[in-house]
Amino acid sequence: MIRHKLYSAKSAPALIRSARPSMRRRARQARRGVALIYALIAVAVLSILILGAGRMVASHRGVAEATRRYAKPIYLAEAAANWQINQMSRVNLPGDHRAVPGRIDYDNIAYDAAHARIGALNANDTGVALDGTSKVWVVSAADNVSRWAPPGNFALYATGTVDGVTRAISLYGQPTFLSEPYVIFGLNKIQFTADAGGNGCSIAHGYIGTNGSVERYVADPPIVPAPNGTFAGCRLGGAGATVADAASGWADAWDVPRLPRPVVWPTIDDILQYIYQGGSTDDLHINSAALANNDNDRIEYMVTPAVARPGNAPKHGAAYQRFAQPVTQLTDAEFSKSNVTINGVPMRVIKITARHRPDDPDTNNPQKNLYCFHDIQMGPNDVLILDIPLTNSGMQPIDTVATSIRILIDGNPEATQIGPGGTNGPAPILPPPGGPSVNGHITITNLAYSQVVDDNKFKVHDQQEPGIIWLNNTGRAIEFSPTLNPANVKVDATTPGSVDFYTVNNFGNYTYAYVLGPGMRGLAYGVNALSAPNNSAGDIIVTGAPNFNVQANALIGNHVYINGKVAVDGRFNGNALEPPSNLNNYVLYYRLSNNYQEVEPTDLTLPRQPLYNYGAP
Amino acid sequence: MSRPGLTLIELLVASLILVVSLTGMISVWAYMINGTIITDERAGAYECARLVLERARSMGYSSVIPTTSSAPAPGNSVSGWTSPHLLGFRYYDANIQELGGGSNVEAAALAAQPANARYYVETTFGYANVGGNSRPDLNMLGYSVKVTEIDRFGVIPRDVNKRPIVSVQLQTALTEGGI
Repeated sequence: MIRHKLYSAKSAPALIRSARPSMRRRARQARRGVALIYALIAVAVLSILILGAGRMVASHRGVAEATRRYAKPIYLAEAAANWQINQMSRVNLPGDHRAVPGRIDYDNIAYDAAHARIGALNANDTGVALDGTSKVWVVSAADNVSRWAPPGNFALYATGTVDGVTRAISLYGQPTFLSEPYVIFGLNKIQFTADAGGNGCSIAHGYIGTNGSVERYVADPPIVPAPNGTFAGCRLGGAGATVADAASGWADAWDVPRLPRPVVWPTIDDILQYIYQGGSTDDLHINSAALANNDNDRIEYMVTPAVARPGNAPKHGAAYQRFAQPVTQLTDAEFSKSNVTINGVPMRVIKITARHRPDDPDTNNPQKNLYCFHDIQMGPNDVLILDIPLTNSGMQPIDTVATSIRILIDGNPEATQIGPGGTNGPAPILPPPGGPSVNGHITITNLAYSQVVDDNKFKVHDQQEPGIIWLNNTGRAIEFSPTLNPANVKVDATTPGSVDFYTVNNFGNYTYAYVLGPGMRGLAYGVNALSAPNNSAGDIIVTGAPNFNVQANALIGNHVYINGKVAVDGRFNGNALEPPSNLNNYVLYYRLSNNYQEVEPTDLTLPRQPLYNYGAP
Repeated sequence: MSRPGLTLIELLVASLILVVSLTGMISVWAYMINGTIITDERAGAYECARLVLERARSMGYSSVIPTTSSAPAPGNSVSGWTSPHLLGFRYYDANIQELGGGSNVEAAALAAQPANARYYVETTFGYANVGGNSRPDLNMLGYSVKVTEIDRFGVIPRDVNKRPIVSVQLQTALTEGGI
């Protein structure tokens, strides 16, 4: 009211004065509600910030949750892949007439997407019930479509679904044969002993290993890695395994991982059951009523040596004769049938030839190249030819698919025989020979193998693969100790007049010939119990020679003794010892080889596009 | 007369709005912070589970076969990468570093819980004897890792059955030659 009165005054100064409050009033009116607006703006801004932060928190949580959710199905897919690999490792061979104990039916293998194994992996499958469901199948690696057949390489696909999330993987795999993991394995002991000159063992390609001890004797170096080889060191199986005298430094350069448990090997019975699909022990025993079940058409002794070969002159192979009676042992009685002289050296020669598949399929080869002997006793001038037809396709009419020779030494009721069924072990697979028990070492001296010589180029064209397995199922040690110097009896195309063990197979400019090793090609195997006792059962001894190099490939037994200068190589010409083409080779297990990939789950039929490649290209 | 009062009311209303809003925002903020902490801890639990599972996988079937999971050697309560002693019960700190106090006996592990333990990891395995007696190397080994987050007071939360409340569980199965 007072202000109003003042405003009513007509004086100019008063009007002027009255104008200022009016302006303030208008300004105040203009600011009316500003605080509220400011508050709302502040709330809005803060809400936006909060929302943004909330969004970040939600995103953070979502990413973490997705990481966890997406981890589970990939682990499940890998578990399913492992389950499938395990199934394959235990599968019976196709066309089995009987199941092998502990193995599964081949027809149960999920061999394509339409027949995939689908469902949960429960405790009976994997030991622990796994959440979610999986799908897994395997096909041939050759084309990714056709049915996988052991022992071929394979492609495996697996999916895992947990909490609605599905992930899938693919991988390639291959078999692991007996001789692959180790070049030398001694269940109880490996012993290296240098010769008088201090020469010892050289090793290339592979591990040595033991569940017992690795020992050395006499002089350094008892064992050295071979030049240009890939000696991978020593594996100790279990807490009790040792490398004796390692403190002296002789094993310093080795990689010596200790495995937490002893290494398990299949017994010879297991191997034969696999080859014969459940019929090994009994069938062999029954059939051996006809003395050993050997294919006697393939065991011959040399009666006439090959003629001298002056340069490129016509060749005349040696002549061989079958034995009149079935052969159940290779001792003096058998070798004495042969009496030949080669390069002035008197020799006694026996030849064993493998049957091969193209003209003699499995159905006509029930022995599957298994030769059973009660004993082998070779003298210093005795030669045993092990002929596996060569695989080179250009060498027709030579075989196109090589196969193995398996030599089972068994049948002596030794007191040291191990396992159930006897005083200290099982009854021998073969019946006893009827005579007195044989004691002492099983002695193998000189071995010869086939090869092809190019007559024009004066050089070896192709060599026989070492598809040979020696199975020592006796209570005695098997000893390989060559005595003949190969330099004296060898294929030497460059030296006119040199003499070979010719066969009668001459074709074109090539000659099919035999040559002294001097090596124990293939695998010598003496594991006849899962836990061999500390006796000589299944032992393997390789003894070097002073004037030439003795070689061996893979040696697996109870005790393995390497005496003197011996070269041990887990590969032959860079290749595996057991040819994968042979269906009846014993597979220890199948394994992941390469190309482990995560693949798109919805695109597992064809084509299969890899999302991420964790393996080798 | 009312014009100055309007400003006061505005201030009061604005303040009220701000207070209510900020209160709500602070609650939301606290919730988010708590959620972030939970997420981080859960992520840590997942990393623990993955660490243990990957260790088993990296060692392979032959190295983690159940018979090898014996009691750790003296001084080896912190299992090493190359050690065969994969403990049944063990602890990790907030930085996912394994702590001492692990054991294959749960009671012993609980009695030795380190003060800075943030994660309690239980590892179980099952052994499917599918290979039979002749091929014990061809069995399957199921492997399960459960992780429980230990609260800030060092207490392992438990369910009605007195079992640790599992935050993260990862499982797989191993075999010879497999992944």
